[in-house]
Amino acid sequence: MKRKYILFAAALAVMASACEKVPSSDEFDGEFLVYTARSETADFSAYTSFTVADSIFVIDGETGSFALNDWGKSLRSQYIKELESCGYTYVDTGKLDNDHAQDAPEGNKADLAVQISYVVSTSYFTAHYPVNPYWWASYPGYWYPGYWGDWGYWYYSFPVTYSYSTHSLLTEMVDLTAETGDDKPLPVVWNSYIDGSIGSTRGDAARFTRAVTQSFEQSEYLDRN
Amino acid sequence: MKIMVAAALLLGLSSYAEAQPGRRFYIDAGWQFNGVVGNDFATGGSGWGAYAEGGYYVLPRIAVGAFASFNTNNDYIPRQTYYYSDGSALTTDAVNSIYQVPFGATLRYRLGWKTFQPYAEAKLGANYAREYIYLPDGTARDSQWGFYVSPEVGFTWHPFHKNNLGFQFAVYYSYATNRSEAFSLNGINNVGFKLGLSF
Repeated sequence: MKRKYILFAAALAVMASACEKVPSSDEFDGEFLVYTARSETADFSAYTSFTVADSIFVIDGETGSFALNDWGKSLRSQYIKELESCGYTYVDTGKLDNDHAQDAPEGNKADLAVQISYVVSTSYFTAHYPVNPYWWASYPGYWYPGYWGDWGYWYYSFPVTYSYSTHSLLTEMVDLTAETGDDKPLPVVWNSYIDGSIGSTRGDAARFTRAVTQSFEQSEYLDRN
Repeated sequence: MKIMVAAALLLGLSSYAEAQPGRRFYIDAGWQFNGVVGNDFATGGSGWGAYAEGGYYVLPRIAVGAFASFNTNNDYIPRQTYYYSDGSALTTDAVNSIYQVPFGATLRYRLGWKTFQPYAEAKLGANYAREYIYLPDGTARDSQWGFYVSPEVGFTWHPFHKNNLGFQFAVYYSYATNRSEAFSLNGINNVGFKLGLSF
């Protein structure tokens, strides 16, 4: 008899824990999560020009690569338009926009630079809020500070909070007016994290477009107008 | 006089025998619909729950026993933008969730002991609760223990002859002292009903 009661209690415990109702992805509206953060010391009114890296860094598993497909071009164009509408002047650097086989003139300089990374999937980072995920510092091929000049390493002057980042878009804005040098950090002054982990469908491009727009709407301090 | 006393005893015994249509102990179990009310974290009703309880009639009308139940209440929070003091901002929709497992002791008083047995019950015990904020890409969680108290009224109905199997319906209110500073939750109020079988 006692054994029956123990089994009954055990069955209840298992049933109780198994019946915890976790919401399905259908219960969300299907739009992407948009997180933005900024450097509290950066004075965005002091910047007048910007550039956007000529490629998208694509993170897939244990490897990363630079690419620019049609979606990447569209995405890059959107960032250029958004920042132009904020009052900054676009400067073409790296590979020329209209001829990717040609380098832009070395004299083309901008105050700010935007680099975009798309995470197809990664096993590097699966933590939850809140953490400071400096995981990309060791990621093979991730935007190395030297891409923008003579900088030694990354520097975030604000805490960064990311979560599981499969099908996500990471965008960082770096300050190119800062002092350079091998021992000088490349300062990141703004970043956005757009999480599309609920996506991976044909509708993702449109959702990313809306999310990028949202990232600027919730960052009014970027507007110089 | 002796005949009257004997008749009275017989009458009393027969009514007492009728007062015990089944065993002196009972087991009730079934489905529970729970509503969380009166907090700023998650409110609303949900049928994601179940209960079980058992007791023993130490007197014809009074039983002591034990209970356990569980419920999940999810509350969808539409998409909005949250601005933080450090300049960061987050735009997302979310599902706030409270999962509760109360258990403890019961004291039941029944008004009748025939086919239809209305009762009032008091429950006292502990409440284990987990609170979640589900985001499209991750989850924040907190958990804690609290004291639990719950008045309940209901009935069991035993329509079958020679079989104690019956049905139960009850409504309840409960309060648990669980507090979550992370989610600004100070106590959990519940109202609900339960529908099940009575053995």
